[in-house]
Amino acid sequence: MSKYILKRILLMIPILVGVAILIFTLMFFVPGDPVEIILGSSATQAQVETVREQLGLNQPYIIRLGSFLQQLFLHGSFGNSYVQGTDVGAELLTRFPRTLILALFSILLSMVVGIPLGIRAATHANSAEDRISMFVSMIGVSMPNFWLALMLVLLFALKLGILPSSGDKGFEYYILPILANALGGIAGVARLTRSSMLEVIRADYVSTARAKGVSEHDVIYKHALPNAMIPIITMCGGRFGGQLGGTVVIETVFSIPGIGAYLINSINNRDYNAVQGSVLYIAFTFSVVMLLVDLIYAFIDPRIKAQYEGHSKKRIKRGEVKADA
Amino acid sequence: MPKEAMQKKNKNKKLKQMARAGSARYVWQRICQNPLALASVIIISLMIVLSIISPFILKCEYSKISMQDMYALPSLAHPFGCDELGRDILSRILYGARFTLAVGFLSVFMSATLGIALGSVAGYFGGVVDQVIMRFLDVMAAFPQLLLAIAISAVLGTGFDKCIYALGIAGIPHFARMMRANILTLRNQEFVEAAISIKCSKWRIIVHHVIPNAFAPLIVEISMSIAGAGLAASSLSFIGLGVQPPAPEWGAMLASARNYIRLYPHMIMFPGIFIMLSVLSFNLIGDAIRDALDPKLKD
Repeated sequence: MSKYILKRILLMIPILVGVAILIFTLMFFVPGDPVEIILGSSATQAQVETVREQLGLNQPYIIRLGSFLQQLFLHGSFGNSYVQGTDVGAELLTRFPRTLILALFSILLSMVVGIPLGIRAATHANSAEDRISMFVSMIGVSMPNFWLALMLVLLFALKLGILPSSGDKGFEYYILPILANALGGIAGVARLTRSSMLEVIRADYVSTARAKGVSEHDVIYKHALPNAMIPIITMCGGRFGGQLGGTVVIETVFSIPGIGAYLINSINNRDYNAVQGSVLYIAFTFSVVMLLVDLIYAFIDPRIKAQYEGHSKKRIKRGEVKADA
Repeated sequence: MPKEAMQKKNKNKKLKQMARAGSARYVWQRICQNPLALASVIIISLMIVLSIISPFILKCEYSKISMQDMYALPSLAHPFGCDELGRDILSRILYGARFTLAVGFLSVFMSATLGIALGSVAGYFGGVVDQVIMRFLDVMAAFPQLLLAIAISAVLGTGFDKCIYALGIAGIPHFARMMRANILTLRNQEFVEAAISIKCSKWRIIVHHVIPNAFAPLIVEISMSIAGAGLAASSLSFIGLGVQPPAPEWGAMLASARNYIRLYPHMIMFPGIFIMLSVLSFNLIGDAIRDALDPKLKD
């Protein structure tokens, strides 16, 4: 098992380097001179030249890329903000917990509500209850999260006055943002759980379990659900990325000073070093989460376990698709 | 005419009426049988038609500023009310449908074409080409899609066309990976083997056997992606990166209406309802197409 984990971690390194190169290259082609942003338009030519020299901006692409990667991976530094002059990495570190709370609780809420809903819909397939819940979840998937956020603010903050509409001074400030960010996830997870469960429920081993007199509860939770979980977990991993992207918008609506709000702010100020840092931070977080999802597979998918444990390798038939391919 | 011949003719007619499974006509027949999907098709068509003809049939022009009607609540003259500059929200929403729908269609067209091309090349050629393409796509897929679109928008700038490019590029990895996976599984299928065994030419196998079969799941994906792209487009405009005001894009309308949420909530209600309605319709159509093309995937 440790071999599998090690392999996964090693495979992630080139991806992270690639992500860094891609973002650096994108930002390299941004029109406009960063020095002009730093000094303002009234700076003299000599001043501009000095700052360019200091920041190494007149060096060719490949050398700048090299020093950027060295800085990032060897010193863990994201450089300085053009506008504020502060260290981007330190800024991101203080903002990160807020973004993480938002994304993490959203995905947890999506799973905690979505999976049971999906199971219920699947076990009552084609009943009125199932149809209505699937139509409602389709509406949930189709609703823009920022609009839902505004609607929630309108109802709970402005009309009822029971929850704050913006800021981050306590947990109650996160309730509406998490709800707004999670609803699409709840609906998506419920739909996928339903279809994944329906596929499994028709399988022979479920009929066998029923035939030998296993109670319906055990059939669903012990025989069907574990087998249906693999696509659900994959989707939740991907959804987490969606939630991280969603936080960018949600943080703007609720004025939560997380990475997303920082990103949008930096884009508006043309502070491209900060943009680069925030995008990298979120992408790295997403990659780590996808790594964790892969590691979870190792525990729930016996095929992977078998591949990496002892001599059980032979048991895998030749034609069988490798789960990590 | 003898009775038997009549019967035969009727039978032929009936056979003709039932389109071949998987054909475009069959998909259309299935959509017609599904009331929700049919309603969705009608809603989307109406949105497209109204967005084109609304400037000619509505009394209020979408861009006309009227200080008398500032913040007007919904009334007979202005069914959805007016915004902060006294512009009629109904005509703005109807006109603005063109942005959301066009960005949805065009960006998905872009990511599907490029993604399918890259995926097919990777799948057919394998080896080094496959490795290079797939590693590059792995890197792109390491970004949440909306985040990648935001980053690309930050570089390209704002505007209608740039919004399409940003979303189009961000969607490529998804289609490419899917196409590659489809081609890899199809390469080893029995019907391809059968075609080889009866000496079909390689070209014929690719064009007549592999591509049509690889496409069916992609069509489903394309129809579903339009919904997602519409949603992403309005998100981009909402955070100030996509289509810019004063263009009446729905997300941009919501962004400017946000400041008046306390006093004039009608300004944020209607654009959001229309975003939801259009995305919901595309999702329902996508569902119906999936049911028609791939019974295995049916919920």
